[in-house]
Amino acid sequence: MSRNVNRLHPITIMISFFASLKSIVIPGIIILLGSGLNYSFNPFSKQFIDTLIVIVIILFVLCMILIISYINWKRFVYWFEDEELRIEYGLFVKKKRYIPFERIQSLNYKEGIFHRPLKLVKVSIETAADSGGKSEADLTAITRVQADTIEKEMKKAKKQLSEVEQNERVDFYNSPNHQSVRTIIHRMSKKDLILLATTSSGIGVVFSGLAAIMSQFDDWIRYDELYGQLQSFVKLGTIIVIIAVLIFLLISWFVSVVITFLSYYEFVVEKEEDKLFISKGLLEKKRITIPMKRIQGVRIVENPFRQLFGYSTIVIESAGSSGEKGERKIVLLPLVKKQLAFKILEKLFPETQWDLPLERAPKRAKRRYLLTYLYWLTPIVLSISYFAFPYGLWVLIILPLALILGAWQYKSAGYAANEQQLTVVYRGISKTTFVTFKQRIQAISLSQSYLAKRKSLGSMTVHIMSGSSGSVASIKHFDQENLEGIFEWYQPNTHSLQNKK
Amino acid sequence: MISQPKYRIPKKGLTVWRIHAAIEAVILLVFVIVAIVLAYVFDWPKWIYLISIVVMIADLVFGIYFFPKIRWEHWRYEVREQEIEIQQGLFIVKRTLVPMVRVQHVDTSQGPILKHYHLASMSISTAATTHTIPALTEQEADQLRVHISELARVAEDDV
Repeated sequence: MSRNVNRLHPITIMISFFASLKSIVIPGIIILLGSGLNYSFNPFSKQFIDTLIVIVIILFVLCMILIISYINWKRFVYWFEDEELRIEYGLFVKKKRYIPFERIQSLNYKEGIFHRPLKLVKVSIETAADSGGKSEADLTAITRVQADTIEKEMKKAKKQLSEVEQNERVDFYNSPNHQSVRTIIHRMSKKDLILLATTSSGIGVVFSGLAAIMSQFDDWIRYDELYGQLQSFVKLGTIIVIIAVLIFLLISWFVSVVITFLSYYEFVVEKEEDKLFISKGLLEKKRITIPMKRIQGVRIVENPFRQLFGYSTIVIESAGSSGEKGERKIVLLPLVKKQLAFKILEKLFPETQWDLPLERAPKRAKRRYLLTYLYWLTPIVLSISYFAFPYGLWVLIILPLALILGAWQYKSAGYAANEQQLTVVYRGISKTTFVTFKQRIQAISLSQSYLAKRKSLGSMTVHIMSGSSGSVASIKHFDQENLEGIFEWYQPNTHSLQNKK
Repeated sequence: MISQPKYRIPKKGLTVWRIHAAIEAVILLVFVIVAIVLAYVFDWPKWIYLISIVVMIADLVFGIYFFPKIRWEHWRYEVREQEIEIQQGLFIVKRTLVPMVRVQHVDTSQGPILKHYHLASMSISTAATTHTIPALTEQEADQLRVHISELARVAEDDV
């Protein structure tokens, strides 16, 4: 292994420069605007000096950021030694980080707009010790060749480890089939991509639909005759506001379509040995790696709009960071027909059953489902329609909708368990089928209110690990004895430890 | 029907909760007094006095007397060889089961009030959750901590 010290590509300076710029731009603007808008470029104006000072300060800050970015880049070196990836970095305090190759769980790649033209890649290195959703180390910009080297070294180290145990040595690079087979699990079609993008924000679609319908009403409700001039003036204001809101919604929908299209472009899932690779993106390419053994659970999410067309989204919950900031859940299949999803999942998790017959919520629970939202919605809705009469009456529509949602949730909820696996189905607005395994569950809680106790109903919450913290799935208003059955199923039954007090 | 976990938390724990509630009541009292004074000075409507006083009395009766009592009656726990079971709650009673292999670490802690009564609280953390037993006698907390850390081993599989 070489002791040649590697540096990141100099473009790193620009990347970190713009990254820090992005983080100060908003506070910066607030400060500038906050000091009053008395800027002037007229050399004879009183404010000219002030303006100059502000410009000088801005330039100074920019220079500082650039210099810091440069020093950071200059100080950041990495090399391979003793089966380890060694990194040294730090502006004032020199920090060293040595990561043994065999400890590396996964490498995640990201190619942003700066990387693409230079054939560079950002590599995030993850180990089991990831904390707070951050990766162990980030190599902001290195060439693909270097990235491949790291991957090879990592594989070599792991291979050697297993082969030392077998007392057998193979020249890794010379053996022709050291590259294990990578099979494509799923590739999203263009049609699905467009469907995904356009349905990405369901609310936008619904609202623009509603707007179209509402505009028809205007023709035959003759507001002018109903109200006086003052009202029509108010109405004009309202209409302008409504139109503005609709335009805003339409634009935000359009933006979300574009963003979704760009970020899910060329979505491919591959599998190699015990790892999953997900790559996606048009302008910014990403590739994340998920070791299969870190997967804690799978969610099949069907939002009502997509459920209508038989589509679903598959999300996996994995321990450790997902390589994406703020996103704990990893989308495995953004949009697939449910039947196809089952086929793919069967291939990935052969021991899991995806369509276990579900135990449903008992009949006597139906009333509780229906009333869930009405308890607190009714007083609010009634007071709104009272205080904002007559327009407030429209709010009453919410009540039957809440009732329908409750009924729907009742119909959707269910659970099933076999030897090792637990399936929980629930609906918020989207229906979620949550599948996890006995040895992955961190804790199970049963809860019961006083009223539920009288009807011997209860709720269950299942905790699993996800990202750097946890994730839960719960079902409400099920038969108490059945839920206790799950409790017992989970229990590693043994006698009590504590002695009598 | 599964039997409930065996052990209650010590009766002194209830006293500690009441002391906590009393401290909170004092803070509430400050707010109530401020509200009443403001109402008097600025000549606000009379119902503000009424609401302030009702809130204060409700807090004294429920916050200090009833709620801690109900909570204490619901609180149960049991540490078995391979699992920990906890039952808690005020209106909604919740029972949680944590297998020993999932436990990652155990902490005991002791504030000044707990210390005065020779009690300690113990938190049991898994990769995803933290469960706290709010009051245990000191010896018991120590015993349990040792027991659990002996029994809890890092699971073979990833998390």
